[in-house]
Amino acid sequence: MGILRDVAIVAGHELGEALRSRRVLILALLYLGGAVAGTFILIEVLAGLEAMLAQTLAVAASERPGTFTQELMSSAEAQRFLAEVLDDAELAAELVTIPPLALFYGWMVINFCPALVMLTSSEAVATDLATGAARFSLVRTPRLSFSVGKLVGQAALMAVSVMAGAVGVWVTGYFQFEGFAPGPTALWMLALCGRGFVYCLAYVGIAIGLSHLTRSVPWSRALGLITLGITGMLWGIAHLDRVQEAAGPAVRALVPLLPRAHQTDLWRPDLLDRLPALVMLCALCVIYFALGYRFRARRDA
Amino acid sequence: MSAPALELEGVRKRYGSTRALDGLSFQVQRGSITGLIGPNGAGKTTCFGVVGGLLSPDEGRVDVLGMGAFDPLKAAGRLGLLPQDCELPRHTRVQTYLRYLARLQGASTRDAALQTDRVLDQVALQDRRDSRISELSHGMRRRVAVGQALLASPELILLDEPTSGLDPRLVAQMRDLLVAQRARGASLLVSSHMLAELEAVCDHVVFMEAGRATRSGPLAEVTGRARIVHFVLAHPPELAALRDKLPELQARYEGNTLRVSLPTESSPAELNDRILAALLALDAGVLEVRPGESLETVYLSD
Repeated sequence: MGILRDVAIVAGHELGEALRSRRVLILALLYLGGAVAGTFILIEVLAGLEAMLAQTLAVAASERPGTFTQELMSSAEAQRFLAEVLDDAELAAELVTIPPLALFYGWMVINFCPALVMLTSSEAVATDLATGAARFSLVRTPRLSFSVGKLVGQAALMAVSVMAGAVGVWVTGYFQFEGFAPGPTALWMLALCGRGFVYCLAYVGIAIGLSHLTRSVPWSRALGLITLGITGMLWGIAHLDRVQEAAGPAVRALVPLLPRAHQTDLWRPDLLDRLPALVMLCALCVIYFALGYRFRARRDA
Repeated sequence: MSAPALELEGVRKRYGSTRALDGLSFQVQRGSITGLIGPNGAGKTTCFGVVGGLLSPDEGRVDVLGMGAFDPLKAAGRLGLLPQDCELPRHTRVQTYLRYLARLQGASTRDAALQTDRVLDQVALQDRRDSRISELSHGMRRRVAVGQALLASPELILLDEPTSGLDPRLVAQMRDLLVAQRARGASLLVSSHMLAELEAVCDHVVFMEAGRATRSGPLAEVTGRARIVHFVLAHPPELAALRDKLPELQARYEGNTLRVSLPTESSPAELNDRILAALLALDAGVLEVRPGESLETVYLSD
């Protein structure tokens, strides 16, 4: 009970610190700005494609893009095309039911948030170790509750940022996208926020784990980015045909240790099909956090 | 006699090939102020870290408040620590940070606010409660750091260089603060290079050198207050004239100061009275009577 209380206090302080130092504001603006800019670019590209198609078919183009895209998305041809690309008919059937901008938002969260998480969270513990401020807390609470509090605080910070991104996409779509369905899009975005949050949680675990490895803030940031690069490379290598053929079962068993190994399953329509991926991503968060924590716990504060 | 507030026995701590603590043993008695004195690199900061549970000793026994090694979960709020060279978080407001630390050692939100108010009064920073730590001067930050060690009125307070960077007025305030903590029953372990300040407040001293205690004991005993008296004189008389009046006198002059060693078998008060009477009779002009050596003299001659 005492430990849980301490975790909540440290996490609350971590979030409060981020608010006070305007880190939350900067992060939220970064996510919001990125989402708005990304949505604008997407809408511009769609507008260009729709105009080109309207010209080819000699029909009048709509003032705002979206109508044709949504028609296309719900067509049997699009579903067939997606099924071939994904090699998964069930998943393709699910994807075409998602409003286009919600789908875009989900794609953005999964592909861009990990980088931002690694950039911002990998210094969370290292900063306090570098300045010695950790000592003021560690004389009052065990190391575990301090570190878990940091993890929870950073996860909450990430949740706020992911939500800010959703707001950005929704508002941009509302004003710029023809046939935008506010209700269904918002509901889908909320659902994808949750899935994106769990996906990024694995990266928060990696970042906080790494943050325990060094007392140097620049080094902890560098470690975060290097690790992000390495996991990306490993994922790419693991998908080379030659590697897949040559890899033994042991190597193949290691692939699930990469968060990216679970991203496709997050889109599955049935909760029971998504559950293993969600559980595994939470487990990866705990595993990577525990590895970093164990390294620091055996050392002096 | 109650158990000491703090006891270290044969504590060793190494950093690689460096022996930071090499069999350190000493005690801090309950309700006392103990001064920890030693050169830079003697192991004082490591000692504070080990007692506060921030560093793990390689060997030896540390007993904090009779509970064994310090465990923040079991003894939240019973130990206050001012670590050396630790920066407070820059963006946090003073009262926000103190409340956070008070909450972390078990206080409710209301109690944390009350403790913070009390501590801000004690370190004279009430008017800066809403300031960000980055807006404070070095001395003010030091006072906030001292203040956090006093939250929850701990039974054992460890202060590593509390007066570092403080001006003389604040040093005097800090001295009063330490004495007030002792008056309410707290036990304090204080390290400082300002020996005159330590001498003014300490009951016990521990000299440290190369990771071990080279000398420790009550201040009066270490400085020889019961055995040595200095009389600063305006017109020092001949020693022979004094010995005519007091044949058993063991004394010598250091400039115009008469340094008298009192025999252990005699009553110091009675002998002092007789010496003073003899000096007055010889019209020596007694300017000052100072018992014992200064802590600085003892430390430097050790």
